[in-house]
Amino acid sequence: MGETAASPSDRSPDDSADVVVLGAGPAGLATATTAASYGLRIHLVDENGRVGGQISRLPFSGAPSPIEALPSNVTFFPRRVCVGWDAKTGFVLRSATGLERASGRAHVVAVGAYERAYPITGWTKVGVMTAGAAQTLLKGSGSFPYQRVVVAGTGPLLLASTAQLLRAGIHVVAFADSVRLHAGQVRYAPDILQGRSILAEGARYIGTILRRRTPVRLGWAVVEVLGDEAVEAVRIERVDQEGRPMGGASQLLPCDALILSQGFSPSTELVTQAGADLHWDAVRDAWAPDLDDAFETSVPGLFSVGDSAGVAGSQVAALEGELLGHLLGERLAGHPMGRRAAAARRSLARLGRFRFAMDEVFKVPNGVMSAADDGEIACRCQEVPIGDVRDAVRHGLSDPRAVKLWTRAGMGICQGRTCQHIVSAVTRDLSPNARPALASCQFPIRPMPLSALADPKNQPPTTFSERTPQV
Amino acid sequence: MKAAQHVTVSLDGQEIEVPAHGSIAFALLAAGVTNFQTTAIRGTSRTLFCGMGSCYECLLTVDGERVRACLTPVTPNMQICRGGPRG
Repeated sequence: MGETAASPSDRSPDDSADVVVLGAGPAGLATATTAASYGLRIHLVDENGRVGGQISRLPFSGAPSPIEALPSNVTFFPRRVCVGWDAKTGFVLRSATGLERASGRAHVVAVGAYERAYPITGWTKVGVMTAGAAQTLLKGSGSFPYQRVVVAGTGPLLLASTAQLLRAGIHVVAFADSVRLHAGQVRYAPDILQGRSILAEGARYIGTILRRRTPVRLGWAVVEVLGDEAVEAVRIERVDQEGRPMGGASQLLPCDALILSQGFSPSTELVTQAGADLHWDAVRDAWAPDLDDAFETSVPGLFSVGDSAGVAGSQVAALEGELLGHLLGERLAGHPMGRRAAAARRSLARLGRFRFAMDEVFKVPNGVMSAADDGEIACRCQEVPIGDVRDAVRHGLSDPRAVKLWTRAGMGICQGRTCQHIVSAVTRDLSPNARPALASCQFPIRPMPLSALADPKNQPPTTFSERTPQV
Repeated sequence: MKAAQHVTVSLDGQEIEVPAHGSIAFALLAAGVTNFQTTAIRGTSRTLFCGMGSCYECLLTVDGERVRACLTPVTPNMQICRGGPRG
């Protein structure tokens, strides 16, 4: 197969592809290149200008990356936002010029995940951001616009983020993970050891943090952000295993930025709008699509891989993409899968054990929001106070659709992406026996100007799927 | 901050110097801009939060288009306006 640089196609996606892959991160790229090795025609679509996804975010202006070399039968369509699924015509995309359709014999959703941050008092102040935002700034520019940073929350990404800031010469005032390591977690050790290559990366991050003598606080959480409009300091406290502040020791840390991160949730709006079945994953604290062992959702021909199918990181994402590429090759091109497919399956099983153990250790605690004042904001778009959401749950509402109608939480421009997990955490905290319920998702799943719909050449989808999700 | 090349952009009609490399969000933050939009109810400032295009808190009007500042590279002479519709 000839290799050519992925020059953005000046054509529009159409129905001429065998496989349409949405998302050009590790999962989507692996799906596209593997399926292409069977001779299939691939249309690869992404929101960004280049392939690689958030993980390999590159300087906006700089040398091209080797990952941009794609087989000639993969056509890359950059700068397209998927606004929905139409059962007749596949993915509906919004480009600079209007609406487009991308359809094929198989449709793959590899759109990744959202980072989660749970509110604490003062979390809307300027200078509070997710770990992903800090990485975007660092990778995009090689620099960081803040000088003294506190990194807090829970999860392995905090380590990576801290080490990256330190290497860029930024002063990290403290690293606080609410995780409390205890003897009971020793049972996860054999599984965690399955992820040797990832552990080696983690060890390098820890090495950087220890060498720079960055204060490390395990079992601590930021309980308050202080400052006028911008961050001036944060207060950290010891928390119990439920993530609730224990009182007593408290430290005030002067800083000008806070990185707040508590893991990721799969981006499931598209599969939800498409009518696919989803399930609640209690350990990962998130919804994920139901998949068969060939990554197919309950909507025939619609597949999901990578973090959008269940957050497990870039290595698992790339392996899932590779395996799906082989499966599609066999299914659509009729060539039997080789040994590489079996090898990918074995690696996935091994890394699956590692990820499961990590998810157990870094599980978001039930009391994660217990320190947040009622007056603090839960929905950042509509500025809905946490107290309103708590009241709604105390009045017996446990379904996020009902909470949304009652409080307006999730009605803003981000369409609930930033507060869905927050509403769910309030519900779990105050009403532990409530069954998790999925937020609904309608076309368009991303904001778009009315002019895009009003343009007569841009027919909106003809078939909407609106249904009550089954739990 | 590293010494970087700078470009001139217009922010609400006023010319400012910003770093030439990176997103509009980085350029403005590095130039000391601490407000990309003001919220409708509490009137507080928002800038960059998620950095991945999902939260829409860094929305700005750039050359007449509503764009997410975290996903859009800065280019010389961009006309950047704050105060557009929040949606």
